Amino acid sequence: MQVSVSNIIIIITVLTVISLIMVSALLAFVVVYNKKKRTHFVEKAMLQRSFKEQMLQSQIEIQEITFSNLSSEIHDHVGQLLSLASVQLNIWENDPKKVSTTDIKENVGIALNELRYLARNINGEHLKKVSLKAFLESQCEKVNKSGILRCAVQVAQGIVLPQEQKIILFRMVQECIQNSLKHAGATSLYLSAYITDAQNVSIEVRDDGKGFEAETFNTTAQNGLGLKTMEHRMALLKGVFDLRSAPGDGTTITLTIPYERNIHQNSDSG
Amino acid sequence: MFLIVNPIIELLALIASIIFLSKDRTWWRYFIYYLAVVVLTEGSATYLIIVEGVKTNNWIFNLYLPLQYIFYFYLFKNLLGFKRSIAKRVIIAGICLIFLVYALEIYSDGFSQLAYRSIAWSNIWFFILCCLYFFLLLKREDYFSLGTYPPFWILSGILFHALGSTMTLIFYQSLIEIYYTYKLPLKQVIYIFLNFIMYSFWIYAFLCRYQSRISSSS
Repeated sequence: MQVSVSNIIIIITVLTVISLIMVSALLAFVVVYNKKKRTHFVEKAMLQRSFKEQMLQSQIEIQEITFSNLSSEIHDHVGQLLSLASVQLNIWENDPKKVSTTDIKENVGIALNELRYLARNINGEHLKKVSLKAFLESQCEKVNKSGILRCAVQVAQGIVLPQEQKIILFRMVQECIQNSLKHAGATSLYLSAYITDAQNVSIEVRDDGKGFEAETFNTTAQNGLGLKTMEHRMALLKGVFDLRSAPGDGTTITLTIPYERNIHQNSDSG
Repeated sequence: MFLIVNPIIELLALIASIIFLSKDRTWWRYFIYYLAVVVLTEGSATYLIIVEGVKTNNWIFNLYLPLQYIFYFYLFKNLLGFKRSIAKRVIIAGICLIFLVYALEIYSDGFSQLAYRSIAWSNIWFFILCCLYFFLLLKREDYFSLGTYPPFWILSGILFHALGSTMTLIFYQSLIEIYYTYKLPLKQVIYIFLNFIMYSFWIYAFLCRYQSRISSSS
């Protein structure tokens, strides 16, 4: 009996200790796993915060560029037209036969239209409602009206851009068009948007201008900065910025972003 | 002497629950009533043995067991969320099984014999419910600082007690025999150790609950 009693005591003690060790191991696993989850949670929150900061920075940059473009537009177009109208009014005051009021009205009318167009373009809420197709067509129409070069546009059916990416992309397209107008010395501009594969959509801005050595262009601080900023902005949108250019061969900029068909619910059609 | 250790540990837990949970307006305050029942049960059982010199006090524990089962299942219901279908099923199945075992045991062995089989089954069920709780906790998107998370400490205490005492319940008859024949209180020693762990965890959980309540209300 003595042996059997001591055996029972040993068995119970050992099994109880094993049970307690098992519980400790289980709790240790829960604690370690939770700690890992916490680390992951903190990292994710930091990444999200960093992403938001970068998006905000990008939006500020875009705003600055938009204001700068707006200033140029007002100075170069609206300002010139209104100056001309003012001169015409002065002439008309002195000698009404030398200038007709129809010309003055026409110039003021053009200036007003320009201002309306600028107001629409600067309004982010307005841009959010515009489809990609309508946006590219309006940009093209504006370029054609300027008479600096000819513009054509082609947009594939069924492309829908997510709202949060839309304004950034539209501003980048505007920046590309401005570059072609100001620096390329091109005679024609071609805007297109297409679904490259099931997962990506690309917007292409192509001109037949003088072009440049893309690789050396990137290294010059002044020039490279704008392109680097665009590249950075595309990276924020999880997209790709592609620049192809060679002296005499024109320039093609392609903005490619991930495309999901189920984003229709969150976006407007187009 | 060791007989009064358990009532003292439980009394300390009751005092802690009164201090930390008396102003709690949630289900947590039911710990006070439950621990009062525990102290009353353990105190009466100890009094009968020491002062009255009775041989068996099992009927007191048999009276207490249904209350313990109800409180523990109520605790799991609140911690797991009864709307979760899996938790609901496990809890309902547990209540049915354990009360059935308890009823059969009382019917077959009488009220003077401790319904230890139902305790063993309840321990297994509480172990399953604790594992389910930890699994659901780890599956959640958000995370908790477990060091100060009251449910974690409450369930850790239950887990230690449930699994640790299972062996003594499996060998319950042998341990009773050993105690009466050789005066070796192994079962009591194990229970003192397990109660110490569980109620220490609970006291800490009450403190964490109190601190979180104070910090959220300020």
